[in-house]
Amino acid sequence: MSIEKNGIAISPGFSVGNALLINQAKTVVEKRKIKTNEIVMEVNRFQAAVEESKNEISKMKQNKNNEYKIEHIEILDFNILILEDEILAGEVVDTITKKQINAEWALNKVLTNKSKEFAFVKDLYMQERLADFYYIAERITKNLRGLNENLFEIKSNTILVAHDLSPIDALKYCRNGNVNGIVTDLGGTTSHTAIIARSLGIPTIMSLLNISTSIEPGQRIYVDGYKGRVKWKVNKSEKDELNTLQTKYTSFQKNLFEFSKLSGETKDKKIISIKANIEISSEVKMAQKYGAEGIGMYRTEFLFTSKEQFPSLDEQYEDYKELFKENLFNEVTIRTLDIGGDKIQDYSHLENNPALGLRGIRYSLVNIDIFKTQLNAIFKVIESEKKKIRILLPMISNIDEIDKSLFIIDEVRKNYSIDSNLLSVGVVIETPSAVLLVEEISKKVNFISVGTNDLIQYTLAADRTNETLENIISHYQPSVVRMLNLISDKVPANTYISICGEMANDINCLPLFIAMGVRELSMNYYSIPRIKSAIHDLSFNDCVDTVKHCLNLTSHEEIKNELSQLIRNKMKGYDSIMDYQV
Amino acid sequence: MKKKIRISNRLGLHARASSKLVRLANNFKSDVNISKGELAINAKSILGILSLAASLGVEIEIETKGDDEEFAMREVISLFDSKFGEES
Repeated sequence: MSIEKNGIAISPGFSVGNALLINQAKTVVEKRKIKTNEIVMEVNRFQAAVEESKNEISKMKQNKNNEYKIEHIEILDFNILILEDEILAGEVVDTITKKQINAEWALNKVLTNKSKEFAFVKDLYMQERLADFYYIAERITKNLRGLNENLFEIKSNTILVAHDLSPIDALKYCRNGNVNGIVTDLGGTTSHTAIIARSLGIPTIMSLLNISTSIEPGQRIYVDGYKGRVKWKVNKSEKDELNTLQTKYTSFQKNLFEFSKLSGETKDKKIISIKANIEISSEVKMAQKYGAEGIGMYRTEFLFTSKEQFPSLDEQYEDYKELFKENLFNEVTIRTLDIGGDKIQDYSHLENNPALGLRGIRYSLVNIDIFKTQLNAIFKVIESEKKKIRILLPMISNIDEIDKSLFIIDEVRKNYSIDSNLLSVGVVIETPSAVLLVEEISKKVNFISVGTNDLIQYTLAADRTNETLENIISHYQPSVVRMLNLISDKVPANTYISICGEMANDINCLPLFIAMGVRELSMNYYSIPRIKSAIHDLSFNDCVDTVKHCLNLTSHEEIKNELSQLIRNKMKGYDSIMDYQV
Repeated sequence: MKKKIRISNRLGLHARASSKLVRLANNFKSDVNISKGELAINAKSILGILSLAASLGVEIEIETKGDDEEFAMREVISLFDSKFGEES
């Protein structure tokens, strides 16, 4: 009988492979002789790993989220003392130097000797302290591995199975392209590792509870990243079933890639530019593969929060330059920093309600140096790459913020020689206040981008992370549809409207956007082929009629029915595609 | 300088007491060594102290050698006398 577990589908796709269990407690000891001229490097590597281990434990100690008891703190202190111990470190360094062997092996030798010494100690309590040494040695070995990445070889068709996978580890393991699936006990859609998995196009499922303790190393596992389902220990008939499913997925994927080549054009030749939202710059490759015609929004938060310090001008410059790598795109949109007090470490003043707090442009206008550094990096890229960048300002709620931002942008821009058609500035319309001011806003900037996720939450006054509000948080809510209608009614003719957020990749919402006359939709790259295929089957007139009707409806179910009815009637291959909605 | 004492705390030189001793010993310029019978160890090393496995009632000899040896001796003895804060 097969075993099946369901979790959260993080990154779509279907894959079969052998489990590589990342279990920090069971590290394998690599053995390697080193040359005389490698000794210094090997000693340095060992010392760096010890240092890193010490930092990790110190951090655990300082982590305020863990309410450690005094005993726990003492254990951590004890571990730090072992790491600081000159006898231990000294003996390992000695062994590396004299025996000319790698640090992992040397550490293992010293540890074996120590455990022999301790074997004479009859005190049971002292015997148990040996466990601490092993624990410390594991930690050092893990860090040694991180510091010598050449040692790690991942075989093809590997499925990573882990309790929790750090973004850094995810990148490290997936680098050689042999990992074709990731399943973890913890984690959710918005975790950094999820973002990376999607950017690499690796089928991923998270929140599988105790998957890492249920699967044996080398186990053959089936990962369905569309449905968030993992299966293993399958029998013959189930295997056949899964293989059939895989064939189905493969042909579906093939179709998708056919669709990805389409342009976003309706039956009656209205053109909508289909672009990708990305969260790390290296996602441009996947975006292009799935048929994005540009980057509609690069969220820069990951860049800012993945390290302890905000990135410098140069670091940002290098990152933004990545976006134009291999000339995949000629134009990208960079949204300036959209974080609030809740996401900033060491922020002494905790806000009661960060979603309504100092975030987005509000934060940038208070922390002008951070804002200017980001602008400098953007201009530097435009100047050196001669490519077009659209700057997108988040969380605008009044005209004053736009004036101030434009003033700062102009000021910084003076230091660069930039062709005027290589730069445009837009505003994210995501507050009801911005909707009411959209006419004036549109006159001040080059384009507007409707940020549907936040606009929905602010319109309905409902936190979108609050699961108990799931029935309220719906983009089919009459107030949301009317909000969108208000925007298209009030903007001056020929205003360039883009839509970003979850709503943009819901096929059912396409009629709304087509009827509104939007020029651009920006979404997760993997939704692009599906949306393109749907656009091709719709016509402007059909959409206008349906939306007119929707504007008179008063419940979100009715609106959803009305919209999906149109899609169902018009779209070829509707059934096969809706199966894989992710 | 050298001084003999008997371990008087119930748990002996276990992890917590050893940690305290190592931290204290590392504050001094002087070498701090402890011996039990034939075995002599460096009190600035947690591994050393643990390998001593000194439990309640065992006699040990403390040796401090260096610029601040008197001060070091006084402090180390006082830590042993306080029973490493165990009973409090």
